[in-house]
Amino acid sequence: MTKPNRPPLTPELVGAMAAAGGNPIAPEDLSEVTGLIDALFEMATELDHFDLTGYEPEFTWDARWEEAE
Amino acid sequence: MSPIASSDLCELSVGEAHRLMRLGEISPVDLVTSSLERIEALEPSLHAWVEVLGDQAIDAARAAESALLRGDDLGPLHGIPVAVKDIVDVTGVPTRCGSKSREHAAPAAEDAAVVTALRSAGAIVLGKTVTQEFAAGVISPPARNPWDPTRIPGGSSGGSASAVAAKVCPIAVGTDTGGSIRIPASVCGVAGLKPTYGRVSKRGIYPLAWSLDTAGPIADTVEDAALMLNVIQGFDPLDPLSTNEPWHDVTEELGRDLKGLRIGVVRDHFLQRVQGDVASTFELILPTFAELGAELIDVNWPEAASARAAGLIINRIEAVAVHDDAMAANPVGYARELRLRNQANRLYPASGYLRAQQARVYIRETVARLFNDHRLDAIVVPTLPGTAAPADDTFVTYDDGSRESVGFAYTRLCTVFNLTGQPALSVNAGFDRNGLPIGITIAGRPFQEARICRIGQAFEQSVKQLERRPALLGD
Repeated sequence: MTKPNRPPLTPELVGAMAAAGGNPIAPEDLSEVTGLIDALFEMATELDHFDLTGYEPEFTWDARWEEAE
Repeated sequence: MSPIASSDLCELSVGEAHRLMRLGEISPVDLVTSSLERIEALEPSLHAWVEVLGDQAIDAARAAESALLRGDDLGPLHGIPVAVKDIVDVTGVPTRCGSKSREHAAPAAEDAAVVTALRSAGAIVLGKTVTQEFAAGVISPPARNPWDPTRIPGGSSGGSASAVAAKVCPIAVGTDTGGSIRIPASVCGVAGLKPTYGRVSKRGIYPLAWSLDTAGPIADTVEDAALMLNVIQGFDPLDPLSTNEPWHDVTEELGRDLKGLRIGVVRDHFLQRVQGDVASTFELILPTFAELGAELIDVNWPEAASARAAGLIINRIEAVAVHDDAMAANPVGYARELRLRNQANRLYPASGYLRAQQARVYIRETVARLFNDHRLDAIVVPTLPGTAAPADDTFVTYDDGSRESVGFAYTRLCTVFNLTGQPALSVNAGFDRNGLPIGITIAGRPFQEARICRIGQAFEQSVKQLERRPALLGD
């Protein structure tokens, strides 16, 4: 699964996304945070060549609850 | 009395200490005193401990001694000193997790499940060891490596590995989310066993990433690691991620040769970018497995190359969820590196996290196929691409002059086994040109720790060049 090239993240975009999520980033940290999130997006491209259709993530989930005495 | 100098008693293996205790030649008090004296002597160089519980340990040793004199046998770790990584709760001691944000944490109200199990088996908690902040890194400052105190002990269980390598105690508790048991074990030249995911309860351990976290032993020998895992393994209904698997004796295959076993040698991803000494040591030791009776089979596992990406994404995003509220309440309590990392990772899309979890299922399928198609008992790979980095320059330098930060380098070959969940044992395989330890990893089928411990122990006992000790300890 190859995705089209993603546009590079900019500090402005990262700052706006963080603010929109209610977690603003201090201006002096913005450049470094942008580099970190960009690196994670870049690393994720290593998974692009897998066809994961039909592979379901596995989560342990027990729907039972304890009944009252 | 034992001919062993009292100051060296702490160097005894679990089995040997136990044997001498039963013969009345040494006592738990002698043993713990020896450990405490060694901590005092080496701590100015190694900085491996956050808190030493000397008085408590001596009290526990006296109780263990009385029990021995009464003829009681408290269990397989009776009187054995153990170190505990400081993200693991010990009653009455704050779990500071290497973070200023927890500087004033209240003392833990109860022991973590692994500590309860260790004490029930007779072990004596010496204290808490240094970890990277919230176990999120591989440097473990300010702890240092006994083989060269100017270098890092790896991490995040760096204090535990440093203590075991300095022979302060034969066993220690570590945790492993992306390599944090095997990395410090490799660079400190000791055994580190990441058990199968879900085999050891995580109750009472501060999480890093729920779906990857594992607790396990760091030990001076493979046998000691197996003895410790025997004690701490088991289903815990109070840990929602514990696997309800029957108890298996991890020591049951120890002492046997490797006849009839099939070991896969994976070179593709695992030798792609490694220091020359690591590659040559790996090739040098491979025939040992054949000499011990195993059949070596060259196999390829190309999907392993993408596993670190999936593992890192899962690790980083779950860590955001773990810390979000605490970090919002006390941002300056977190070191800048972790704070910025969490701020960044908070922006990563949930769909990307889920794709990484899908990839995990796929990659596990590929390794299961590899094992089944070749009828493998285990695979063997280098643990790390390089040896211990200098503490003031935390990069791995390769033979072509290129460099890679230890955070990326050390996890590159390790994280795959957190992703697949299978057990992985790092053992010392030799030394580089600077006398620094080089580790290899033996990874097995889920819940078959007994098999990889058999392979690891047979290897460990047959490789003569491993009979070295850190210069720091003297002759």
